[in-house]
Amino acid sequence: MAKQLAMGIDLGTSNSCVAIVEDGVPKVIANEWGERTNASVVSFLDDGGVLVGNDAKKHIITNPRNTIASAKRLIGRYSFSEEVKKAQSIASYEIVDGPNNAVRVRVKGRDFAVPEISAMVLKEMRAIVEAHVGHPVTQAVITVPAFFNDNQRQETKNAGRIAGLEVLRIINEPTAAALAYGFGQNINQKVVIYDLGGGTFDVSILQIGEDVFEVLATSGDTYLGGDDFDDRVAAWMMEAFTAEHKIDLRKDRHALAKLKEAAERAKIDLAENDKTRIHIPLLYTDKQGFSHDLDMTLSRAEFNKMVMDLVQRTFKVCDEALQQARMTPAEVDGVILVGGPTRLPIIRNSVRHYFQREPNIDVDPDLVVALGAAIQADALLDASTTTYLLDVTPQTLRLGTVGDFTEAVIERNTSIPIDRTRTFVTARDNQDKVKIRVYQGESRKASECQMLGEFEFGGLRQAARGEVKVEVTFEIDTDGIVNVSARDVETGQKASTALTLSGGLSDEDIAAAQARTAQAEVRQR
Amino acid sequence: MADYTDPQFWPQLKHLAATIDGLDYFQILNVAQTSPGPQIKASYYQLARALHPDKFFHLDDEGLKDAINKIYKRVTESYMTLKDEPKRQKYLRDITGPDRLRKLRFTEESEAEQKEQQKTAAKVAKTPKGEQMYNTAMVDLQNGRFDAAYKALQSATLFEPANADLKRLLAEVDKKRKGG
Repeated sequence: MAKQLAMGIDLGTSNSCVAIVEDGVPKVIANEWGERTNASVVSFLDDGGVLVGNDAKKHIITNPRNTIASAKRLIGRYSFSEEVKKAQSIASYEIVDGPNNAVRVRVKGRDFAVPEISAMVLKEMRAIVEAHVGHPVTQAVITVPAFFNDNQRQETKNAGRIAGLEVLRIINEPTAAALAYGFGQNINQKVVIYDLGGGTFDVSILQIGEDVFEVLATSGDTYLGGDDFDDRVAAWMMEAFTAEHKIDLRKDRHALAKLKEAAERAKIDLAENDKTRIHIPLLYTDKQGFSHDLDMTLSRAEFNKMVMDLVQRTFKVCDEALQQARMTPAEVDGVILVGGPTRLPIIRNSVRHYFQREPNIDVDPDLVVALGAAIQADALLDASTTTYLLDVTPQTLRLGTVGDFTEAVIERNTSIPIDRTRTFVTARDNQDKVKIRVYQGESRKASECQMLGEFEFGGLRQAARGEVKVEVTFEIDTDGIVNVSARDVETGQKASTALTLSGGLSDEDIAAAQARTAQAEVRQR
Repeated sequence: MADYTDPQFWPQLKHLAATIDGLDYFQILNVAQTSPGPQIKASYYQLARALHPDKFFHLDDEGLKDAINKIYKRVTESYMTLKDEPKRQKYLRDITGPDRLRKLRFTEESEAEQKEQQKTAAKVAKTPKGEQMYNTAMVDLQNGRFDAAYKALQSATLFEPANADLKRLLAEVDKKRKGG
């Protein structure tokens, strides 16, 4: 009987990639045009159809308001967060507030939850695999940045469900990369994965013991990536243009989109060349009908200067990870670069300098994560699993105590799956419920952490205060997702659990979104 | 190690999950209380290969998968405590003392106690003799011997009459031994 097939999906900020294991070999599947990476872009056309992928990307300039890129920068975040505010200020499309402080994307008068947008990209990845194998494939392993918190992981899983997928596992991108790197190689090494993607940065330190991949520590920045490098170049271009022509381009979505596209191309060009010419014809046409071109040259040295602070941020994260792992750069056996932006000479050189060794460039930085996800997908469905991922939770799980204070329940870099219990005692006679607030973060102040939600445990036995002890179990599962449950210590009876203030999608929301997504008319160019 | 995905082992595994609360971390990791770090890691890797939930993912028996999940979480918990030297030492004291049954899981209470100890250990005694008496007092405290701890601390204060920290600690222990 043919074994079931599951796919591995790298759902990236800028680009997504899908792979399967075929005849025992992990392989990235190309789309019908032979392209192995697909832009994580969704464009809503005027006739009601939807374009997803590399073609949709072309619409960023012609149809900026209705073309959604970099949704991953918004997923699982609260609308009041700094990152959403930042994204709002430079996005070409409308980002609005949703219920419970969730984020919505407004297109043609309709509000979409962020996972709905990501679901369209996932659906496209699924279509690519199904076209290749000739039958339906519904099971997938989807990757996320290692530093993603619980909300972000949960919403990514929801995106999978909305796309009609059975999400077997959510795994961390650096871990997936390490798996692809070490799979079948019988390595015994301590490796660092330096993963700089379009919108996120992770550093994971792993000990690979042949078939065991143990994460020693991980750290990251979920709002730092190639996109930010582009933004620096775009800002530089805009400043020069404004100085020369006295025109403020900030309100012109089309101009901004053109600047961003040109900036990205310049960045990529500078990976190969010392200098690049940036030419945007008709960047801006004024009311009198005069058009202004943009024509500038950017040298690699100037580019390096304008992005230096971003590069330095990555090494602060490396410091953090090494400290958590109680290691020095000298104890590292190998450094693996993941993500397109690591092709930039400034990154390669800085990594070489920091770790005092040549980074490993045998792995393809664009494809390695999807390959690792496919290997894991195959291992889960296979009776003869031969690789073991021992991952960790990246951020400390905390409990709100009094006022703005929290206490740690499960420390960051604790191996998962794991659980911890805390016992609470009723403070009032006949108290029928206990409420707790759960956070993730490294600060003792709740206001400096991410709130995961408020849990209410109800149906408690009626008794005098102090007589009912409620044992709350905090579990972090193999997806890195937090599950909370409670029981009466005396009777052993489970308390009912309700989650509020979470901002994520409910099961009803997901079902409705799934129906809408299934109906969406996705164009093939 | 055996292949536990074979159904012949499942009753055994389900039983282990049901009784795991009665085992200490050394027993769960299958190591001696004196095992050095590398041995603990090697044993952990071996158990990961045998009991990682991913290995059982494709099976249909939910009861078995729940049992595996419970066991494996405890394996992870055991490793997290035993691989950290101060935690491991504290844990060893806890489970060889009178409170063993209560302290099989190194949770809230033990962590708080350890943090307290670390805080006081960093600053208290300033002279060699004072430190010696202080350390003796700490061991006594951990084993619930409040009278002995009080006596040791009293001696410590004789060597360091100006040490306010020691005096404070002495008063706390005095309260404890009087039932406070």
